[in-house]
Amino acid sequence: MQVKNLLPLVSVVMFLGCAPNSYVGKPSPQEALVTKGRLLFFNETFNGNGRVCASCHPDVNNTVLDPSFIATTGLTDPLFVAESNPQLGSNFENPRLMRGFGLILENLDGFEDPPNKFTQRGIPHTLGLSSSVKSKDGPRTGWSGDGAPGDGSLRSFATGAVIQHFTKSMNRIPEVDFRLPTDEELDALEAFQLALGRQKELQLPLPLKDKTALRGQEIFNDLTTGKCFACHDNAGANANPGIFGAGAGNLNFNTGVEDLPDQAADLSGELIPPDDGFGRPGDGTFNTPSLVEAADTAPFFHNNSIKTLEGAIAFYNGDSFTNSPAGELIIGATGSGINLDASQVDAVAAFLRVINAVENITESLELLDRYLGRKFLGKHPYDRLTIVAASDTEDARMVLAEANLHPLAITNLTRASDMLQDANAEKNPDKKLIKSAMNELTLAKNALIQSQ
Amino acid sequence: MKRIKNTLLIVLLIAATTACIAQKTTEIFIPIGQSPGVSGTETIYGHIQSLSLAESTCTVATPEGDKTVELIGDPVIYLDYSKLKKPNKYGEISDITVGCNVELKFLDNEKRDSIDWIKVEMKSPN
Repeated sequence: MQVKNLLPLVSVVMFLGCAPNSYVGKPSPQEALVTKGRLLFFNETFNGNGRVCASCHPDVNNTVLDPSFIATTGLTDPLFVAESNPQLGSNFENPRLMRGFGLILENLDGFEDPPNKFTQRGIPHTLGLSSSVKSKDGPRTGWSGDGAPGDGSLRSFATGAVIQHFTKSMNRIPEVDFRLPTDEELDALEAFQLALGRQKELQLPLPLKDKTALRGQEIFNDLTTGKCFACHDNAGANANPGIFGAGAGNLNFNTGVEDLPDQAADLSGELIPPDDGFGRPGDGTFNTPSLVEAADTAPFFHNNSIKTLEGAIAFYNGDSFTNSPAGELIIGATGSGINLDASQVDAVAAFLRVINAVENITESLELLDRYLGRKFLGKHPYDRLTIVAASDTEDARMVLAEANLHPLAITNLTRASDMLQDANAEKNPDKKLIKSAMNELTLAKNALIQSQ
Repeated sequence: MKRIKNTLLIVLLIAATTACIAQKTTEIFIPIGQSPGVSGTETIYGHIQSLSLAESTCTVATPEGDKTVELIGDPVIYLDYSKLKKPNKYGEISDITVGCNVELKFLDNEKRDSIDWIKVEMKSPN
C-alpha cells in the first residue's frame, strides 16, 4: 500500500484523536467525574419513562421549569409522559397544573393514598448547591430540606427522584419500572450538581453602581427595615452566623406561604392538598433558597405561588408572613415585622436583579473563557459552554430590562447576546465572535459594579 | 442584636430536635442493600436466626457475627418483593420469620440498639 493511500486513514485517525471528549491534557479525576455526571444528568433515563434529570432541571432555563419554558417544550417531551402513557395517566402528574403553573406532583407524605395524598411543588434550581446544602443538622435538599432518601444527602437525591419521577408505572418496581442509580452514578451526579453555578458566597456589601440597587442592598442588610439577611446571609441560602451561630448553614422556616390567600393554582379548581413541608407528618417548614439566583428563576416559593420578584419581596409585608412562626420570630426578635413601602420593595428587587445580572455575566465569561481554552476540536455535544453562556447573557439582559435598570449595560448585553446566538448557529462557534461577546459582557459588568 | 441572637437561637435549638433529614417515603421502593449512603454503613444484613416477639428481640446472623437487637420504637417494616418483580409493601412484625433475609437500619448508628426500619426479602408473591 502506497503512503499516499494511507493519508485519508491517517487524517481520520488524527481527527478521532482530537475528537470531542479527547482533551490534549488529561482531565483531573474530579473533572472526569463532573463530566460523567453531566452526561448522566442530561441523558440517562435509568430505564424509566424517558425522563432525565434535565427534563425538570434544563440548563438553558437556569435548571427550573416555569409555564413559559414548558410552553416551548415539544409535545412529545417525556416531561409530559402523564399525557401519553396510560399507566401514568392518574396520580402521577396533574398536566393542567404542570403546564399552567410549573407544578410537579410529589408523594412526600407517602404513596398510600395517591388520589388524595400528594403535594404540588415547583422545581427548585440546582445552582450554587455547593454553598446551600449544608446545615448543622445535616444536608438540606429539595424544597422542604428532606428531599433525599437513604442518608438524606445530595448524593442520595437522585435515587428518590428516579423512584418518584422516572417510573414507567405506578407500581414503581425496581428493574421493571426503572433501575436505581449505581454508587458510581450517584457520585458523578453529585459532583456535577455541586459544580453547577456559583461556587462561593458573595461578600456583601457589594460596590454596586446603581443608586436604587445600592439602597436596596442597605435595606436587605438592615435589621430595622428589610431584615432579609438574617435568613439570607450574603443573599445566599444560609442563615446569618452572627444571629444563628457559626455554621448554622441552611435552615428551614415556616414563613406562611401555604396560608397565602387567592393563590392562582388554588383558584384553578384543581385539587391541591396542603403541603406540610419538612418531615412526615410535616412541621410546616420549608428550606431557605438562595436569592442570588432568584431574579431569573421565577416563579417563587415551594408552590410557585408568586410570579414576580417584586411580589415575592412584598410577600413579607403581608399577613401570611407576619402571622407565621417565622414572622412572629422576627417580631419577637426585632420588635416589628417587615413593612416595606412599594419603593423599598422595588429597591430590594433592584438589588437582587443587579446581583443576579452580575452573576450571570460572571458565569457567561467563565464559560466562554473555558470554551476558548478548550483543547479539542468541534462542538462537544454535551459540553454546552457557549449555549449556556448565551442563555445566561440573555438572562442578565432580561432581569435588568424588566425593571429598566442600567440601560447602557442592556445595550452591551443585547450585543453580546446577538453575537452568541450567531456563534451558536455555527457548527464551530467563531472565536473572534466569542471574544467580541466577552468584551461586551465585560463592559456590561463594569457598568453594574465597581471592579473589586 | 443580642436580643435577636438569643431569640433566634432558642428557635434554632427547637428546630435542631428535628434532625432527621432524609425522607422515608421512597425507601419502600429501594431493594435490600441498596439504600444510598445507608446500606452497609447504618444497616446490617443477614438472616433471622431467632425471634422473640414476647421480648421484642431478634437475632440476625450476619457475616460479621450474630447481632441481637430490640424491636422497639415501632420500626417500619418493608416487604421487599423486588426479586419477584412485584411491588413492595409495608408489613408487620409478624411478617418477620426465622430464616428470612433482612436488612435492619439502626435508629442511632453509634448505639445500635434499636431499629428504624426493617426490610424483609420476600420469596413468595403471597
